[in-house]
Amino acid sequence: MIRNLIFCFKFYPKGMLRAMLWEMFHAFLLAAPSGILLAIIWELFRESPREAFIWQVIAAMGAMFILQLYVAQKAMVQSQIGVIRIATALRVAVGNKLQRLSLGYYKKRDPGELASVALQDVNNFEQIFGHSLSNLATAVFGTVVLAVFLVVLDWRLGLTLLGALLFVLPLAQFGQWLVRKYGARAIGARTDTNARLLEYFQGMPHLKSFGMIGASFGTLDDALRNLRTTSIRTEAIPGPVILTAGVVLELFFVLMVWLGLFLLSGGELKIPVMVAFLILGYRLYEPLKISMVEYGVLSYMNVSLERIISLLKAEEQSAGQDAHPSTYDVELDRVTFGYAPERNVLENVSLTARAGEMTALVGPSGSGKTTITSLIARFWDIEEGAIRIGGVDLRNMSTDTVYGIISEVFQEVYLFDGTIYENILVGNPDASPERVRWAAEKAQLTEFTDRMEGGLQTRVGEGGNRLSGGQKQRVSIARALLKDAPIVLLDEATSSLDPENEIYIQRAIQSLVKNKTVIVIAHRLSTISNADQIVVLQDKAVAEAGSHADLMSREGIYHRMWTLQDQASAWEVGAAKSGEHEDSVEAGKLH
Amino acid sequence: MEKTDTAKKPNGIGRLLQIAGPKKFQLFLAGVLALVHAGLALVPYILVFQVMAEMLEPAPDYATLRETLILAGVAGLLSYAVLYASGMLSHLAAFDILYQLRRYAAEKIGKLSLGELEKYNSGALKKILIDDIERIEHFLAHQIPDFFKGLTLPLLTVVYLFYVDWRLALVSLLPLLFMVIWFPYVMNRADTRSMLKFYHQALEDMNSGIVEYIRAMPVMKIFRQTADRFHKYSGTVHGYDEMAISWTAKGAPSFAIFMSFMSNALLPILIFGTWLYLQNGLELATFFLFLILGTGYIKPVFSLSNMAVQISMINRGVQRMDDILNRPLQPVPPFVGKQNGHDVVFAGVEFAYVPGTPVLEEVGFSVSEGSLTALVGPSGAGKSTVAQLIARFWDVSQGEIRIGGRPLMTFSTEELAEKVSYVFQDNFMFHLSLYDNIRMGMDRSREQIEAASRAAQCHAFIEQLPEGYDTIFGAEGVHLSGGEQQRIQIARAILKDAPILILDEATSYSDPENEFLIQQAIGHLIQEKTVILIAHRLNTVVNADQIIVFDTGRIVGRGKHAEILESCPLYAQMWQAHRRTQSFSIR
Repeated sequence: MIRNLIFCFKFYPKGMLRAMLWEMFHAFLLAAPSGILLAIIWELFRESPREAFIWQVIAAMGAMFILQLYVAQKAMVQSQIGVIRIATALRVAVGNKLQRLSLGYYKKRDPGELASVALQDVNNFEQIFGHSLSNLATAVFGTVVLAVFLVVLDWRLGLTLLGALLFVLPLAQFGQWLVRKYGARAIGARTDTNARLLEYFQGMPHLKSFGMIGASFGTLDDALRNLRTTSIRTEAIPGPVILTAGVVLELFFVLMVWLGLFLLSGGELKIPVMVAFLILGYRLYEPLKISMVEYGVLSYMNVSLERIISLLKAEEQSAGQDAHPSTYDVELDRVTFGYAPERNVLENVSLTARAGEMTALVGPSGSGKTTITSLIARFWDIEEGAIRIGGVDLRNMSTDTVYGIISEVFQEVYLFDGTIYENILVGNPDASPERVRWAAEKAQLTEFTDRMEGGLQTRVGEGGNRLSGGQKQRVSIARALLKDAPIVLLDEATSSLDPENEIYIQRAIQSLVKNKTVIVIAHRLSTISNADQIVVLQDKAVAEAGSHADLMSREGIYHRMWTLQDQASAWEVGAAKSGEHEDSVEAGKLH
Repeated sequence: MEKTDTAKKPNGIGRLLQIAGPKKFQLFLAGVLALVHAGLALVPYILVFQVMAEMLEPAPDYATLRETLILAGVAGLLSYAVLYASGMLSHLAAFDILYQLRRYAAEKIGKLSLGELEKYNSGALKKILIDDIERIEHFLAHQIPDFFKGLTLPLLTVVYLFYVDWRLALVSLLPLLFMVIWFPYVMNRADTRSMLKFYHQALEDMNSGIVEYIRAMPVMKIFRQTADRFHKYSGTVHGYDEMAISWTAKGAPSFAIFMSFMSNALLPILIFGTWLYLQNGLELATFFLFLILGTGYIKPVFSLSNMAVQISMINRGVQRMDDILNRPLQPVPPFVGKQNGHDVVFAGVEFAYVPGTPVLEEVGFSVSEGSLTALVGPSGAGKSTVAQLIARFWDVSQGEIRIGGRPLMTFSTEELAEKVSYVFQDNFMFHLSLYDNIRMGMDRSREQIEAASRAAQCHAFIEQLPEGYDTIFGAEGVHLSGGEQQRIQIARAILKDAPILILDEATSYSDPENEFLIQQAIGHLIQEKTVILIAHRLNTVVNADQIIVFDTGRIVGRGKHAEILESCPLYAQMWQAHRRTQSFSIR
């Protein structure tokens, strides 16, 4: 845990050092009155106590108290601000890190789980540590001061009291281990519940239409039950161990008194010393008891910290020497890739998309079209073969460089809850308002925003759900226009549109792709028949490549797809309904 | 739990106690045990006093003290055992209540209309169900026992101190007086109410900023939006940072000063006790007892007064939870009469997402049972809204929708789910096996599920996956294309076999092969159903029994293809456009 805390402290080293010095000073001021108290007791046991001396000592105590007032607030503010600053730095660091990880990392984890690291785990740290830091610092420093004092006063009784530590520390360690073990499960259950809840909310229309509400969405209920069980265990199992430590403290105090009485009866101990131990002995254990309670909470926090740190240390995509290409041909050279070991999606794929030309990828679903564009965007890194832009291997460019030269219009459009303007600005945060307006016009956005009351400042709702699919797509094209990158990846950008929208989108795309290296995944062959190069993918490999005319004359797969498509566009729902449609799956097979 | 829905909800502590209600005996018992713990914890102190008194006697008898010591040890042991029992009881009760609350809230959220639900984003909802409800645990499992303890321990201590020496006891109460007077001021300084509100707002903003950032990660990567540069992330994180720091700067100093006073609460006893002793008015042992025990009541009382702050913190969460629990549900008045078939009728329907800006106006049409109706029109014309109204995702502002003569209002979500299948424009796959993704909680046999999967053209690709139907969607290496996901959705609908079917732009995401397969799947799906199709490709609808053309929320044309091509200028124009796009190419 110490190592993890040091890791965090490094985000705000000066502030934390300052805070710790104040805390130490504060702890000393808290412990000092015990010594002064003792001086008074001592004096009272004299035959004739010196009154003036006693009042002087009490006055000194008062003075220290006033000093303490200042130090206490200084220490508390410094520590809390330190923790808040660290939490903020951690949130930003986690966010930046998430952006630098390959999407492969996301495939392995639930987005809900990742959100949980940034939200829940950092919150745990902030809440728990912000609250405990002062207490803990006081406890640690205070105990040390008092312990030294008592041992010096009488080593036999002092060591007896400290002897409890021999049992308490291992018990605390064991308790901590238990808390960590069960706490990790509870946090895991929480993370899982988070993910299930997000799924529940986001899939609500689907769930509703199947009446799967509340407990009938079984995985959510399971997650909630599991959260209950793991939470109870986190309390129930380490509890006895930690409480046993408390019992040990009680017993050692009794033992100390026993020994004291024995020594007293033998005349080997002075009564004032014994009184001092009776009064201060409990005080010695008080901070220990506090830190034991805090320790449990802190171990819980430590589980969160470990998750944050392991995320921050997760392997990033390497950048090699960070070369910058000067031309923008995109070349795949014998690329083999799979999302999981032993399950290749692409095998030995080679193709070249020339700058200023349009290359279209076609092929049945699952043939790897989207994978190719994802690889070019370096969402994943390849193991075999190479992908080069202008002759430079992708792995020798930083992700920042790669994303500086690539625009992508995704098949799913992600808009965030904000205005249309803000959503376009994502393409280039430094763009002027005029430029944003220009992009909006080129992307045919103004066609509908001009009719909206708020214009470009209209809010789009969470996930952009106040816009239609076609409108969202145009926003995403506007982003790409604003970015003006030399390479454009278009992924099934013309799906799910009504004819009106489609025309607008087509216009938008035409302005986007001018003089760019364009790689397009098309689902309608007619839209790409003019492409400079059409690459047909099948069975994880390139089956054919060439211009429309070439491929048609070859009478291969492309030719067959073209024919099939004609058939499909002649398809009518009404016809299918009345049963006229020939129900043959075989005819649909491409191979 | 059900009762809380309709009953008038009290605020603050009353509401929290209401939440605790189902487990009140368990929690009360936990409180009593906490009290017993407090009593037992006091025993060693009293015994120490006896030891001291004996010690200061001229001729102390140490032998009798041995028994006293054993008693002290046993009391210490017992007090911890009782503490554990109390803690377990309260935690068991608390986590059970939390579970019930979350379950109930999730169910309630599921019952809200999408319109109500849209007022929350999913990050905020998650925060309420997880974090806000979690806070209640603190009240139930810690504060209830602490309250018993915090009230009785000081009381017992003070009574005992008064019994020993009333003068010093009075003085030892000085810090309490101070606390009672000053504490409200300290809390006021932190300006709890309004600060808390801003704090929670900042926290919520940050939560949704982060969730959006992660959801849109591919976009963030492509546009080089790091957490620093993406304003929604960095802005909300720093906003929260500022909020937290200004709160600390405002509240912490006075709090720390207050704490210092409390940790020096011994001073009055020390001064007054010394004075008394020097006047020969006090036994030394009594003085020492007060030095040990005289401020022992402070911590419990302090945690008691701190409780108020924590409760107001918990309460804000409870209020947000209640805000959801109190949302009006869609009314389901009872239906008397008989439903006849499954024709769908819209009569004078008006609808607005936001009052004042109608999305649908004077929409009236009927779809006869077993027929196919296509809804067409430019985007934003209201086609999808019409479909969603049939599924009762929203309720109409005016007019009525009827299925088989029965008002849609009288269908509960579950009843409607049986009558209406909906194939959405957007796919949504759950983190479940593909088997369960198709089954969607329906009571169907494996054979039926595979049959539906076959009809939806899913069987082949599912069988190719290493774990077949047991493959978990979202697991590593499992990748389904949009078209495949679409077919899973169709399989769900085939399996459900509801008499009314809504197809929302179901032909997107498709390469030619997929498109062909989806068409096959839909062919199976729509047999003998009342079908309402939101079409974006006009060639798929030319054979529909009825085409309804929408423009800015109104019906501008209705009839068969050939008829409205003549009568509806918008449709004719769209048809032209459609013909043009068929021959469109990117360059």
